[in-house]
Amino acid sequence: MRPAAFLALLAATAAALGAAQPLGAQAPVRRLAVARDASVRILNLTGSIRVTGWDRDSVTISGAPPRGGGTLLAGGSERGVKIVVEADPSVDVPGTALEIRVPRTATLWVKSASAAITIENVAGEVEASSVTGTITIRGAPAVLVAESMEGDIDISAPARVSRVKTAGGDITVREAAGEVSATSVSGAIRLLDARGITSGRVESVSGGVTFNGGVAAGGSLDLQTHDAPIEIFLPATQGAVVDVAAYGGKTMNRIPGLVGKPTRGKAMQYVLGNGGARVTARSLKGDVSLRSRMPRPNPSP
Amino acid sequence: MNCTDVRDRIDDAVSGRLAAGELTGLEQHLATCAECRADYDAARYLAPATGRLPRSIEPPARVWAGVEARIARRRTVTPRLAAAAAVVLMAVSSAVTALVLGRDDAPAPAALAAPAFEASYIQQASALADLLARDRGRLAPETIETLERNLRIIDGAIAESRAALEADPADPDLRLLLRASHEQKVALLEQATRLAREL
Repeated sequence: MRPAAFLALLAATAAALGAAQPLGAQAPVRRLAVARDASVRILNLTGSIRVTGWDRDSVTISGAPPRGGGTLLAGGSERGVKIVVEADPSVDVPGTALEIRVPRTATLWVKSASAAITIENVAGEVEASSVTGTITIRGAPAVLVAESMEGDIDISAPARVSRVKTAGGDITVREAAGEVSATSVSGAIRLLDARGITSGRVESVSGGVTFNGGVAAGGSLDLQTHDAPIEIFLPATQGAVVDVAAYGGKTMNRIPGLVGKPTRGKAMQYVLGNGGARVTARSLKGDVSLRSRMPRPNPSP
Repeated sequence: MNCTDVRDRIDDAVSGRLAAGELTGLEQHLATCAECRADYDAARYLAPATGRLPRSIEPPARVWAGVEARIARRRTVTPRLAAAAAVVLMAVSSAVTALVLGRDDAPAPAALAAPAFEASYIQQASALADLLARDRGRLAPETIETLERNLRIIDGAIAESRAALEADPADPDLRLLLRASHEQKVALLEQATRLAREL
């Protein structure tokens, strides 16, 4: 190689490293200045990813690159940062445990293969996706999208819009509010302590569905399975028209004093209070049960 | 335009071949019909991918033998083309899963006519399965196993929902159950295709 060409290559390499510098084990923490609404993209296939929102306009990253071959790259601009762990797939070593802090209002995109993803205290838009790793999200993101093929998803975050999807993993969403969509093929889906859902769609093929909480006046909730049970727990104050269609299974009304009327075939309709919300449950082969939600016990003093 | 008119014209609309007058009618219908809107959106979303697909998919020989036998049996009770279309639709639906699984031993399709609205879902699933088959090697064996298991569950649900709808074609909830199972299948294939591409 001629000296001029070598120098050009050296300069290009240095520029690339300036944009995305590898982090060595000797320098596990790196800080990047970003805007409070910056976009942060994280990719780490194995190990774990923990992202925590904080009230500072910077991103910090800690985590050693994979032993035996691999690089942890982090770089970008004030508007957006990308953090990538590149590992040699032929080397079987433990993955990287990434610990990242981002501005609380950042937009976050996190992807893994088997790495468990945990996101806390982020109020911007959050999108998390994994193949087999678990996804745990706590806080109050504006919009939340979580998707896994096999891993369980556990959400405690009253987002304005939540879209959660798995094939074989279980889904638990606590304190859901606003617009919610949760779908699974064989995993169970639980919406617990729901608070005034305006538009909800919950579908599983062979996983059971549990809804426990309230639907906003004028809101709608649609629950559906193919051959798994659907359990609906509604508060005593809930006004709703509830339509239930269980073809091969049974419809069980366990709400005291509530009387249903048949609409067509085995379908039943129940009216709670003054109506207001619309709840629909249908299953081809599963049972559908309607129950009163037990009041939450007062917290211990 | 009614729903049938619109669905006959969706492909032309997406590919820009629909006359201006018809396009206006189609858009007016889409503004008031959520089901047709969903079909239109799906077709538009998939247009770039389906445009690259081969014009036909050759099903495995063993499946085709069963299809021919069923077509022959149905000739006496239904118009030939309608029966052939319905059964071929079913064969393609099962072949989609076979394509994903990389095997030619998919179960033979049940001899039930497929409701017309299933065609667009089966087309979507077929296009996605073809894309996925190309990148299948990039997915981990355990991911493929999960995908296979869940596709089989969905295929079972589709078959049972279809049979229930055959028994009671006017039931709107049964129609929704069948539609939801197809949507699950398309969504799962989309997810797997995305994973294979991104990881």
